[in-house]
Amino acid sequence: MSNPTRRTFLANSALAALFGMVNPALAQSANRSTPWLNWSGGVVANPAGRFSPATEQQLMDYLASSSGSVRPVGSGHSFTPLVPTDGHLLVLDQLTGMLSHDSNAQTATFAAGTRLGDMGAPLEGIGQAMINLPDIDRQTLAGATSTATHGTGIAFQCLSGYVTQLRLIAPNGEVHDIDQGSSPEFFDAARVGLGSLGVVSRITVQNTGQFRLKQTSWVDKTADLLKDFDRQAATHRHYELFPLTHSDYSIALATDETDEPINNPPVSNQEEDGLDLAMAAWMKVPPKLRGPLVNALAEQIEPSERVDSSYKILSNVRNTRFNEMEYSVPLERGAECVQEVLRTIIDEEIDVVFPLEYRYVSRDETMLSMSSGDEDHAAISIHRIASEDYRPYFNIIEPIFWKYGGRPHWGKIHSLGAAQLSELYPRFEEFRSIRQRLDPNGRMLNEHLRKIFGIEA
Amino acid sequence: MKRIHTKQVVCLAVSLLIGCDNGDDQAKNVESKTIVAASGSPTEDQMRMWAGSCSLCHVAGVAGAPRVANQEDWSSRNEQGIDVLLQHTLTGFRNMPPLGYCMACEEDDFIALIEFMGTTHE
Repeated sequence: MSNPTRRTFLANSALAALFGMVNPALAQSANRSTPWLNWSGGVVANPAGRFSPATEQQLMDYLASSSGSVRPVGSGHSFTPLVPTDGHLLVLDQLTGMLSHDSNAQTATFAAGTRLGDMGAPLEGIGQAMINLPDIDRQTLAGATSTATHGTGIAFQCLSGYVTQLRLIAPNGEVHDIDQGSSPEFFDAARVGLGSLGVVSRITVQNTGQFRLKQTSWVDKTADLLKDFDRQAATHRHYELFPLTHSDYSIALATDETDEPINNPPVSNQEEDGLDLAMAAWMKVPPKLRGPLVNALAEQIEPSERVDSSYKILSNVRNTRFNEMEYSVPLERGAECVQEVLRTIIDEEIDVVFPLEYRYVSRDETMLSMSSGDEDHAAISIHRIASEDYRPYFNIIEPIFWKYGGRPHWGKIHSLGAAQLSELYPRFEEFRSIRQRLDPNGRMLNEHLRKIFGIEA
Repeated sequence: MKRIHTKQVVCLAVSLLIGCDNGDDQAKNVESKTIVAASGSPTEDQMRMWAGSCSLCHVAGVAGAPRVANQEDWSSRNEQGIDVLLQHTLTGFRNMPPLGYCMACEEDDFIALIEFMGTTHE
């Protein structure tokens, strides 16, 4: 077995090369815990240690008997630096699984560290299914709800909207079982708490009966699809677009309940060959000249369908790692905003092949979700492959989102601080007041959260 | 025209770039050390960590992950040596995210689990 110091050096050298810099925190890591990186590799931390409680009681005891900074971590899928800490990471990977369920109310309680992808099968076993799911299901339930992670559909709130009860272990170890009836303000704050109010240890989710979904996808002109978007969004259970950059086309994805038999075969290698060759050629062409090529490819894509259990259709495993920025804008401004983003990518000759994502999300009553308040929102995402520097692209596009009154997704890259955020969220001050009451010493804060909440170090 | 899964277009657009990754070349520049049978089995805690993270991909070979104890999958990787494999695990490599989803794992845990998965019992 090789020398740990050498291994740490190797790992840190790789990290330094990855980010083009020497990270002082990593350089000091010989006597600390293993460095932590998020899913994309773009967020790095050098925690003093990790604590992984086997039971809620251990978590309570730890918080009650210790001091110093802590940050909870789920699956590391946030692209924003919500997790990094010089203190201890609280890892909830032992707090997993379904704890109880109520067949009449169609609710189920899960330990907070349960991955979304591990909820579908046990729910199926009790005749329940989650009402909606985000596109990626590797996140933990607590991580996804604490950042207001959402799926697609004008009729559906973000995941946090379907939380009916949760248990929050406060920074001093006190236990708070919270629901709408007992403490509505506290509940609306804690459902999207960014891990700043304490550590969520269990969550009860409102579900529905099992159902099967049929997903249909096709390609059409982006302008036409956007013109018809409201009608389609009202017609289908879920409806979204993937606008192809440097082209006139988008992929449309419509999903509806069905009784049809399951038909969801994996795509074969042979089927991929033609597209592989076409797209390899596409990426060698400079962005300025790419339009006709992408358009020609788009016109050859045939519609496709698949049918499966709801949770197998709604979420996918995303193997290609990326960084992402997502803002939600008021519904009536969504089409104009996404068109300006697409136009800017062409005008600025931004060399990006990753499609955008455009979808509607219903309003909710949480304090800090992207769709909190009294209007529905259109969510627009831009992506950059993890190995590429996302900043030049995202820095050009982010001000466009601001122009349309955009609110950032808490788990996705943005540059906003307390001054701007307090303008965007009517209940921002209310949240800050609850946070101050629960964590007066700022134990749950890190640099990113201090910026968000406007708190001096 | 062959059937094209439109959702697949999203993934394929980027999978081609991942194919340009020069991680293999980097690996060749590092001293090669072959993993031999692990000196000890992983602890119960380490196997719990494995079940909650590594197993998501390394049982079925999701996204090209080398399957547990599969000689075909591991022989060329083992030749790269534990330092390289650990480095790939800590920083992410190709489709594998940094830390391979194990947020609780420390270096020694990763080493034990890599050796566990890479031991092919020839």
